[in-house]
Amino acid sequence: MTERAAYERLLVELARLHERAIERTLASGQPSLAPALARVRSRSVEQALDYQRFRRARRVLMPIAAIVACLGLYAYVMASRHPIAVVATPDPSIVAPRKVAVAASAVSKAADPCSTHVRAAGNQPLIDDFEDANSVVSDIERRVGFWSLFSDNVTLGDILPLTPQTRPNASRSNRYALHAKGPELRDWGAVVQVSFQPACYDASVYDGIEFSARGPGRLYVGVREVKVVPIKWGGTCEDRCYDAHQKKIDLTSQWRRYSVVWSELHQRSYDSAALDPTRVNGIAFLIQAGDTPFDLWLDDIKFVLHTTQASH
Amino acid sequence: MSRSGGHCAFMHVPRMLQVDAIPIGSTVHTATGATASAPTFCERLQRLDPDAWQCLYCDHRRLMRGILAGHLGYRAELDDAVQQVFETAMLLVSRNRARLSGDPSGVRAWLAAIAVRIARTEARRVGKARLVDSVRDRDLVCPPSVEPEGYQLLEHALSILARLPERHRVPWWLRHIEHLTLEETATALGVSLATVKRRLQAADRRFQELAHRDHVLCEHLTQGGNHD
Repeated sequence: MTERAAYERLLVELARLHERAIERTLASGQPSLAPALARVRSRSVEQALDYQRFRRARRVLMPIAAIVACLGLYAYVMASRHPIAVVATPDPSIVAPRKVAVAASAVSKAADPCSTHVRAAGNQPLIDDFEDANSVVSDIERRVGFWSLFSDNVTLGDILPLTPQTRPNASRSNRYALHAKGPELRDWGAVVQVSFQPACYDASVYDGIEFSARGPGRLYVGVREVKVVPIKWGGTCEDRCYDAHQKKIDLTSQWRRYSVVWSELHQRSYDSAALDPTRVNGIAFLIQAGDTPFDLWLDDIKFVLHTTQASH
Repeated sequence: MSRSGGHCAFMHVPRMLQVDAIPIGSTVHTATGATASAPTFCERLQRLDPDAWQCLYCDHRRLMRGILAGHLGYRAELDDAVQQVFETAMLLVSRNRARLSGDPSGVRAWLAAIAVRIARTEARRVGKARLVDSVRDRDLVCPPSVEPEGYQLLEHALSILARLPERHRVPWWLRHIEHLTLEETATALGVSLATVKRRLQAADRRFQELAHRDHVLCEHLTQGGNHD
C-alpha cells in the first residue's frame, strides 16, 4: 500500500470515528429550532419598533431642522445684504468713517480695530477718580471699559472687575480709590488694567497720563497699543504680545502724584517704536513678580493735557 | 438523512455569491421528501416559516455539529452553538442581509461559513486546548460499544490537529472529515479555491509529518490500519 493510500485510509477511518462521536452527542441535542426562531422573531419585532421610533422622531425633528436651517440661511443672506451698521452719533469726538459696516461674517482676522476708533476731544482728561465706587471707567469722552486685576495665579475665565475701596485717609471730596493687593507671585506678576471699547482709542490730543498712587514697592505704568494686544482680545498682535509701552515708577508709602508723558514710555524690545497715542487699547499698571507681594492704591487717573507740566 | 440538503441557496449580501438561478417554478425535493416548488420553499424561509426552518435545521444539523466539533470538541453544549448558527442565519434573512439565490448547494456552504465564524469566535473564547480535552472525555466521545483503539486513534489525530495553525486545520477538517467539496470549503472560509487547495496541501503534508512521529497514527500509516 502506498503512503498516499494509507493516509487516505486513515482519513476515512477518522471520519468514521468522528461520525460516531457526533451521533453520540446528537442524541442529547435539541431537536427543535423553535427557541432560536422565537428569539429571532422577538429581535425582529424590537428592530421594527426601533425603526418606528426613528420614523416618529424623524417626523418631528425634520421640520424643526428645516425651519432652523431656513432661519439661518435667511439671517446669513440678510447679514450679507444689510450689514450690521455701527452708526456714530454726530459727535465731533468720533472720527470718520461715520458709518462702518461690521458684518459679523465679514470681519476678518487682520481687520484693523482702529477703523472704528474713538477720538478724545481733549477737554475732559479724567479717566476715573473712582468716586462712583464702581469698576467702570468714567463715561467721559466716550471712554468705555472696566478696571480689573489679573495675575499669574488667576485663569483667564476668573478675571473679576476691580471695585474701588474706601481710601485710608478718605475725605468728603475723595472717598474711594482703587486697591489691589496680592500674594507673592512667581511668573510674570500682576496687572491692574482697563481696556477701552471699542478696542482703539485715539488719545493723541493728550500728552501723557497722570495718577496718584501709594506703595510700597514699584510699578510699571503702561499704555497698550492695539498692536500688542492679541487678535482674540481685539488687537492685531499675533506673536510676543503684551509688550506695552511702559515706565517704571517707584512708589512710596504716602500718596503721591505721578505724571508720565508719551515719550517716556518704551517697550522692552530693542527695536521698539515710540508709542502711537492714536491707537491706544488700554492702560495697565504692572507689578512684576519680584515686587510681590503687593499692596497698591491708585486714584485720580487722568490724561495729561498739553498745558499740564509733566513732572515726576 | 441527506447531507446535501439545500433547496434554496442564500445570497449573503455583503459577499455576493455568483450562482446560476434556478428557473422559477422548478421543482426541488425537500429534506422530508415532499415535493415543493423552489420559490415557495424559499419564500417560506424568507418569512421565517417555522416548518421550513425546521426542515433546514434537520437537514444540516449534523453537518453544523461536525464543523463546530472540529473547533470546540465533542461537547454536550455543542447544540447551543448549532442553534446559534441557525439563529444567525435567520437573523441575516430577517434583516435582509442574506437573500435567496438559485444555487442549490449555496445554502450548505453559506451555513458552513456561519458555523466556521461562530466556531472561531467560540474557540478563541474557550481556548484551543478544549478540542483535545473533550476527546479525552471518553463518556462524551465514545459510545460504550466503540472499540478502545478507535477512541485512541481519534484522540491522537485531534492532538495532532490541535497543533496545526487554524488556516490549515479548518480546511483540513471541512474537506477530509466533513467531506465538503473544495468549492464549498472555499466559500465557507471566504477564500479562493486556489488558496484552499494550497492550504489543504500544506495541512496534509504537516499532518502526515506529525502522524509519522505519533506511535498510534504511525502504525496506521504504515500498516494501513486495522479498523475496517
